[in-house]
Amino acid sequence: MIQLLSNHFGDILVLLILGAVVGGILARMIRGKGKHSCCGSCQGCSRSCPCHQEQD
Amino acid sequence: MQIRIALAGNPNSGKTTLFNILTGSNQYVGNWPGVTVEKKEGTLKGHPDVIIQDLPGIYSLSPYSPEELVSRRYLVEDHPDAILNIVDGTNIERNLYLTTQLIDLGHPVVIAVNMIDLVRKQGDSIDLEKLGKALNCVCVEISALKGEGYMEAAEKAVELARNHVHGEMPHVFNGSVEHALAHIEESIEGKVDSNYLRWYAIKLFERDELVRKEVGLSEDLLDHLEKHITDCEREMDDDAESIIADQRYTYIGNVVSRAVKRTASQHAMRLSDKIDRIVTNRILALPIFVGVMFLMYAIAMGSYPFSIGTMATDWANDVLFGRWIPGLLDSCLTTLGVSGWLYGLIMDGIVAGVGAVLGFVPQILVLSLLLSILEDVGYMSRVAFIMDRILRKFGLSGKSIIPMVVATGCGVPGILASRTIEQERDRKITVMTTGFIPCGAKMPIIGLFAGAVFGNSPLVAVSAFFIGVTAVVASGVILKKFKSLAGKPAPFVMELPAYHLPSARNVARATWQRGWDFIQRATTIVLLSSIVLWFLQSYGFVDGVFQAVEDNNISLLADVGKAIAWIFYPLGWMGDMAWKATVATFTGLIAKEQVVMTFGTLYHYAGELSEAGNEIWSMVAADFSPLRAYSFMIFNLLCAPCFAAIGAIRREMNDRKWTVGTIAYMCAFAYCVSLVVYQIGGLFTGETSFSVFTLAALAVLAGFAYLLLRKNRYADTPVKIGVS
Repeated sequence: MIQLLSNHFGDILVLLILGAVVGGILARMIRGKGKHSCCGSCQGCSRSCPCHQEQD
Repeated sequence: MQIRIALAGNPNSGKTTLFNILTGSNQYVGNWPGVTVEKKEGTLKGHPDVIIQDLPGIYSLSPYSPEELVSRRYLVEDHPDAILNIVDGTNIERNLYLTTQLIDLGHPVVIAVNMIDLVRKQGDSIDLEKLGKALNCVCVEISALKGEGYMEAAEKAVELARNHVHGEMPHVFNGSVEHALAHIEESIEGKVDSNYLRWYAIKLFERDELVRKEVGLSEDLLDHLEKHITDCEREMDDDAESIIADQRYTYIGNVVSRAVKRTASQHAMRLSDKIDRIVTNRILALPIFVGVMFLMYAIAMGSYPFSIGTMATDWANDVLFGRWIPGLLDSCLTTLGVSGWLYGLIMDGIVAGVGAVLGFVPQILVLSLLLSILEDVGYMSRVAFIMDRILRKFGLSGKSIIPMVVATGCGVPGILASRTIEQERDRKITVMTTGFIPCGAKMPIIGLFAGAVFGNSPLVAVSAFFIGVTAVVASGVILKKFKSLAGKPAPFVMELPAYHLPSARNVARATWQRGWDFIQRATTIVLLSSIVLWFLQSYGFVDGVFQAVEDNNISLLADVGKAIAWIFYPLGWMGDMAWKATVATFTGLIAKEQVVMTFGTLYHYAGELSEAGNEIWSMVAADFSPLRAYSFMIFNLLCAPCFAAIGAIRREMNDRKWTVGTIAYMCAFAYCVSLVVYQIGGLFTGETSFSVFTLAALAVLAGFAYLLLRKNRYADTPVKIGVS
């Protein structure tokens, strides 16, 4: 296990960072879509929703 | 006991400012049921039993827009105890039109004359006593912005509400009209709430369809009333609605002449009016508009040394995403000793893809900056006015232009802005055609080909914009000739704000918001898609074995692309570039920026970067002749929009058939235009020879001509107003 980690340390580190980035994007999109399900275009961003609605 | 005060007034009369200072933080914001119109109510400061209901800004209580319908529904069905009518003192005639209608409702009305400080600054004066006497209402002067008089106005309204005091209705109409109204009141007595007898009578006189349905009179009675109305129309030589409006304004004119003293000449022109004499001039307006658009695109996307946007984008593509970031990541990944596949994913997938899109951020920012300046200065409102005159000749309303102006930023709010269009058919046509306008996400597509193939000519972007506008107009003409979409265009009334110097804060905020949206999309959807795309182009089946491939022409992505690329053969998408162009077009459904990301990923994979880092665009240029590039660009500009916009279309159409029909129409339109451009254009450039596809293109041209020029059998179809 330690051998595996040391042999592929670079890969694991980069994959962890990439995984965190992708996971964060997906989480934000899913969370954002729930709040602003009107059109989804803003993907839950903080600026005003174009259709000024929030999900009931 | 709770008291409800309705706050009513024209848009831009200072209602929101007044509402905010009356209620402070004790507000609730939601939506009126059944419509997407904002509903705001709050408790009056110091009076926990008094609810202030902020009604949407309206010019009248006619049934022509969701805002007006919502307001009158509230005033008639919810029985507020009093109305606080805020009137802009600097535009008193126009504002009093609504006032006369509010008085007809029979509620106690307090008129709050706002912007009184500006009235005094202009050297004018308003005699509130005379005004109040003429309208049989209490009049109070306020300055909502300066916080003067607002509490007195609110407390007056509360006092009237508690004591159920309302003045006698003033005599607005002449003898003939009053005679007709008296007959109508007699006929409907007992059928409607007696408090609103007068209001219902006036609406029935105007032949208000919604009121007719609501009151549910018998055919005989309606015929009887129709006789009185027709007699009045014959006598006054005008239609009922115009008679009422005309007499209201005559009455208002008399009231204002008695109560308002003006020191400045009525005919003195303000600076805005002087500028509008040129900008909205019958002959000069359109050339000025074309010139402004050309200048805007030239600065944002033109060639050196004029275009700041292009210079910055070239630097971003060549240096930032061409050398610095790839160089930095290369050394990091090499130091970490990552595997080849992971290196490829990061460099060839993510960096190439996302970098290709982010490289256009400078152009987007410059374009957004210029659009924001035009909006803030007040010019974009004039564009709607100018285009109305032109569109009306084609049976379309200028109100359709506003969603299109919004769509230059993003198609989704543009489509949603179609809600302001009262006529259902015009609204549908607007929703169907707003996607033709190049939005911010399509700019990289234009920028890519303008830079790679057309030497950064600003004409590419300008032509793309006007092709979009032409597509809108042509579609409007074509679609209006179908029974389900026919009808006269709605009258277009719009307030033109005064010109003013752009506010640096507003412009900076709007520019940043647009740019940030673009960056967010690139670093979210585009990033995820670039990973998926990289995978699909890096792996494939070789002799039946699934494995990594060196040549992306034999990848999974190429297999999928080649299976459907034949559809686009007549548009000039041939050879190896065909599947790449097809794949890029389909990825554009996720977000239009993806088209550029896809090219960045596909062409980056195909070649190696030199120091300059700009071989990608050279490779694009090698695969796309100018005609082919233009055909591809037009197709992507006009075809089905991104999924977010499709979702907005679905929402606005509220009907699956219409949504599918809209997408199909856009794709068919885009295909036909691209076909004509490539096949006919190719005869002139020598790129194509006469073939069955040329015949098809000629047939398409003939079809367009027929659809545009054929007689409209449904030109006089009566229109319907819909509240969604």
